[in-house]
Amino acid sequence: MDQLDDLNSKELFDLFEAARLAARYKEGSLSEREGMALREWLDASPSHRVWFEDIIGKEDGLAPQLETFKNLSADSVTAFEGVRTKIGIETAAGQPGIVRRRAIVISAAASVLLALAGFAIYKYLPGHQRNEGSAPIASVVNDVLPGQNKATLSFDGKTIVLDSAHEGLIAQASVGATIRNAGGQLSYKAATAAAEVHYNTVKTGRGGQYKLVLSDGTKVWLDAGSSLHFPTAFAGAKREIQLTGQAYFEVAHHKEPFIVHTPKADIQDLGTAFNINTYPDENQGATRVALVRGSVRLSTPGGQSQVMAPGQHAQVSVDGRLETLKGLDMDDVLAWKEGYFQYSDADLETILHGISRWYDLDIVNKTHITKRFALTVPRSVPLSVLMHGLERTNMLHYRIDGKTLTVEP
Amino acid sequence: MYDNETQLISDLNNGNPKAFELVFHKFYGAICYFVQEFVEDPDVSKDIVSEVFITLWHRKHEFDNVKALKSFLYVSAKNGGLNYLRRSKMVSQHKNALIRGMSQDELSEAMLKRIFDAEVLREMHIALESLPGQCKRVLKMTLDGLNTDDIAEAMNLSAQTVRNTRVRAIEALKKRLAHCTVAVPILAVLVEIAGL
Repeated sequence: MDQLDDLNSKELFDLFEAARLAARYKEGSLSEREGMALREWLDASPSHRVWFEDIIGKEDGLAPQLETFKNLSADSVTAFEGVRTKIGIETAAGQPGIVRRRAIVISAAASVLLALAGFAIYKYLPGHQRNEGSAPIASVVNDVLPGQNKATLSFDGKTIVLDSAHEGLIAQASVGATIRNAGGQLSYKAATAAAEVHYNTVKTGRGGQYKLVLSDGTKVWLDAGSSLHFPTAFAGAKREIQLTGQAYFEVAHHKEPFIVHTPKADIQDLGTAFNINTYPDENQGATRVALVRGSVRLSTPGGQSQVMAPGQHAQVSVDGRLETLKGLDMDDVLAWKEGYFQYSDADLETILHGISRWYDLDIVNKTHITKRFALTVPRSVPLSVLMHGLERTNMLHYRIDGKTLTVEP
Repeated sequence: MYDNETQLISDLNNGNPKAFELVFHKFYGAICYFVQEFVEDPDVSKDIVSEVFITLWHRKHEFDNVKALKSFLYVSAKNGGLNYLRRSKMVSQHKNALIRGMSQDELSEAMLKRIFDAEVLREMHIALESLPGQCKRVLKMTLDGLNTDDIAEAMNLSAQTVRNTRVRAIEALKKRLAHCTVAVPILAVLVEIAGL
């Protein structure tokens, strides 16, 4: 008899549990009692021991199988769309929880993990020679401090600086909303029945970043060298704002669609979280959108448009072509918002542009490096730490003169 | 949202589309991995797996626990896969003959092993995904050459403090990196290539 036909087969249920224990064993987190249960299952049949040893005992870990598995799992998003339409069900957009939970875990664990991980991994690596008695690196005299929460707010012809020195209530309800500035975040609370629409512009220069909560509850993280133009309170059938530069949005779910106008493309939200990059000096000037969850529609002035699925990256190129992109790392795209520079595979120019924007420097690149880089560094470090990492590739040297960073072979 | 599997199943029984979506994402990868063992064509196996989940939706009230649901998924996938192999003339002769040549017991044996593998990978994948960005970043930072002094400076610690906590750190790190079992061996290889 084929045990595999009995839906409630004990053999199958035990198999599931054994697999769970085997995974815990591989990770080194098996409890005493669980260890006993696993041993029992292994003893129950010689096959069990063979299967266990085959998958757990592999010399190179499970890297290839896990990679295969990861790719299959990644397909579940598009596959679900197909199934969903065949069955004819709707799933509510904008579910909170998973992405946010991960963000919290990262920020809480970050400082601990980084401190532990850095040198400990160094000790850990085979073949690595570490000179225990080496002197600490002399601090760089002309070091550059990283960017910080800094922006300007413009309205009615006035401009004020947003920083820790200008906290508190900024404007009253007469402009359509009460505006409060605290801890790097500008919050708008819509007033009741504003007479006319007031527009504000928040701009970050080089070395700045800021967070906003718009009057509808939408959260916006604004990167350096960016600007956001928006009404203090939304009225009418649509919520429309204008963006240049780069921002990450978590759009509050309301009846009225939320539309971001950028110089070369429009992005219409349908209840979501996504990143938009319109930096003219990146990606050959294309406007890039990365969708974390929910759904957005990306449109070109020429009338092309595309609805994106979560996990997708798409762009509108400088000549107005709309295309879906593959092989991009969502963590790379969102890293800036989490406080990191992260590049899995970037050319030097791209990295230097990012440095220019965050450290407020002009760049002179005298190298002709075409090789690509992988780099992960917190955005909070002084420039020397980041440049140190780049120098270790032995492909370049750097120096700082006033406001100019020069990179040469 | 669904820390509780019981709640998830209950909502699925009641026809909650979101619960169905979560179940789909939870098990899609594992069922595909299982089916691809004997249906090699990736497009065909995806179709078979999608059909399995559609059937799951039509029988959503039948399962009162996760194990029963998983059993259903694997059993249906097995049947779907074998049906395809029987019907299709396009299947590579080698695999087909291999499967046809198996006795009932041998086939069951191979299937059960594949389910075991799929479930182990599924569990490990969840553990890895729970801190993916952080694990990757930690390892990448090291690969990209941040040394103790750089880390110390970035973290505003004295290099001595960093050295003092080394032993405790290594232990904690081993535990942390256990979740990144994939990455550590890869790391070792990459380090050699990079010449760090």
